[in-house]
Amino acid sequence: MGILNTLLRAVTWWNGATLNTLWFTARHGKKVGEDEQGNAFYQSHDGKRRWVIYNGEAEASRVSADWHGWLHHTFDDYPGDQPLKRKPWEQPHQENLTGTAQAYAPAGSLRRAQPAQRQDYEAWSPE
Amino acid sequence: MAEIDYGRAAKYFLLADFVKGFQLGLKYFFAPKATLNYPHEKGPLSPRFRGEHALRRYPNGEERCIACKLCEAICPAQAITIDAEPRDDGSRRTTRYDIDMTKCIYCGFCQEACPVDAIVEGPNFEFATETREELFYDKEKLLQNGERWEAEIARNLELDAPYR
Repeated sequence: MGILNTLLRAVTWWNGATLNTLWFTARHGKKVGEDEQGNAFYQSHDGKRRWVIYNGEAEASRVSADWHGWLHHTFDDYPGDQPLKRKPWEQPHQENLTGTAQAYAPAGSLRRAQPAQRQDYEAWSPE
Repeated sequence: MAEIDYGRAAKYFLLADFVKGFQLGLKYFFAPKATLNYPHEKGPLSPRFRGEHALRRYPNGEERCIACKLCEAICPAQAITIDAEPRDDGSRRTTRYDIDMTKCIYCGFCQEACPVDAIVEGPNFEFATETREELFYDKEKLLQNGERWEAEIARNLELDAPYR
């Protein structure tokens, strides 16, 4: 961790965790597991608080379906303990891509290379 | 000569209002915080939570939706649009399943109406977008949501099943 990195951590919250969050994690955190993206999941010693330290950008939608329920206190069993059942056609998790070039674009969107032709009206063309 | 209120004068000179104010400030400085350290920490969600929609598939990978249009009919915001045609193998499927997420009010009637548990409101609520058009979901996007969130959707349905 270079000087610039430390400075960024001290004054921004989106480059990984803030220093205070890391300090809190070191004092109270008990590591529960890691997901395939490298995000580390912690809980307090009494198990009442659960949190995640993101590996990289602190983007809330990076929590995958595996850990989402545990992190949101929906259920108590976590993937390291009892993995959720997987089906062969399931796809890997994807964060919210809005604002990037890969963001979802509906059929008629101009951001698509080939926007779908509109069929609900007939375009006028000069003679 | 007017009567002097000594109690009030004492409070005035001893800065009683300041003391009271700082007391209140200190009380909440040391009180347990109600806030969460989002995005690291997140609030509790019920298995019934109604978030972003997803179209589910059967365990063998076949899409569940049979284009009965019950969700389209019940939707109070008229956010759902469905076109249907028989597929090549003769089964009735949707050719178009659009949800306008800007119209949706997240009432959950669509998942209640669905006879095959195809349309569900999943646990994800972090799908905010920068443009309006990104919220006009089509069938492909909804099926993809189902493929990405199926593990948790199935678990939530299982947890909620005893209460239904």
